[in-house]
Amino acid sequence: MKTYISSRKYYFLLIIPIILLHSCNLFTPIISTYDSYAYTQTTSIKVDAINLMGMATEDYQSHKTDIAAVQNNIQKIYEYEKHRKHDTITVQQWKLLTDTTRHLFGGFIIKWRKEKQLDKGYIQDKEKEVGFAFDQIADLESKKIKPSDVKN
Amino acid sequence: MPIDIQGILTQLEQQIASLAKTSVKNYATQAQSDGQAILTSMKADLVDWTNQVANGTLKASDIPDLIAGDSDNLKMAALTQIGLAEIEADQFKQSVLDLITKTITAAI
Repeated sequence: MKTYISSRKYYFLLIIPIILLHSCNLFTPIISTYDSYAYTQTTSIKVDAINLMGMATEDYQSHKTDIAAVQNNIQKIYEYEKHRKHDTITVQQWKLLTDTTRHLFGGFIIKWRKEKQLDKGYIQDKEKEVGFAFDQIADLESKKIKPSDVKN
Repeated sequence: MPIDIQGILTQLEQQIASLAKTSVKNYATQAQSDGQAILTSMKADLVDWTNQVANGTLKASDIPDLIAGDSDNLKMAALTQIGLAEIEADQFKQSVLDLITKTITAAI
């Protein structure tokens, strides 16, 4: 009986620090866990964006609807990412990709609008850059810890 | 029989230190390799664009925009690396929590 009480006493002495660590948020994740919807949307929008860029040899005005559709999908995933907890890195990546003052997808659309149509050589090089940017977002998402692997 | 708390703490300390060393080493190796790959790719792009201008498939006036795009991608890759470091830190915390739970459970 004495041994039993003694073991239980030590058990609580060891368990209490763990509970305290939890309550101090020491084990709260720094970054969001993997989200299959975010990953699927990213790879899907990448395909749509690259396909759209391929149309830039033609007049901007004739593709306004296609452009708006891709921009709309990007806006939706951006809003989704913005509302996920601990997801600031991915949100920053989407901002960089779509910022119209920069030189990835956002900048490409502005250049297309200004110049009305773009050269095939330039488009192909830009597709590689924009593709790489999308891949960075998808790669980061794919490497996040799966929710089923998180122990609380 | 009373539990050897000091022994458990020493054991945990050693295992956590070893876990930390492995985690940092693995991450540093991967980050260095990724960084090198990006730089190599950027150098190849510059050579490629110069050749394209020479053979008339790319306008010289488009090169600054492409260079700026590569520069934005460096920022993009840097953000990925920060994210990967955060994932590594979360995995480390998970492993520490596992280690503590397993060690204490085994001792009781």
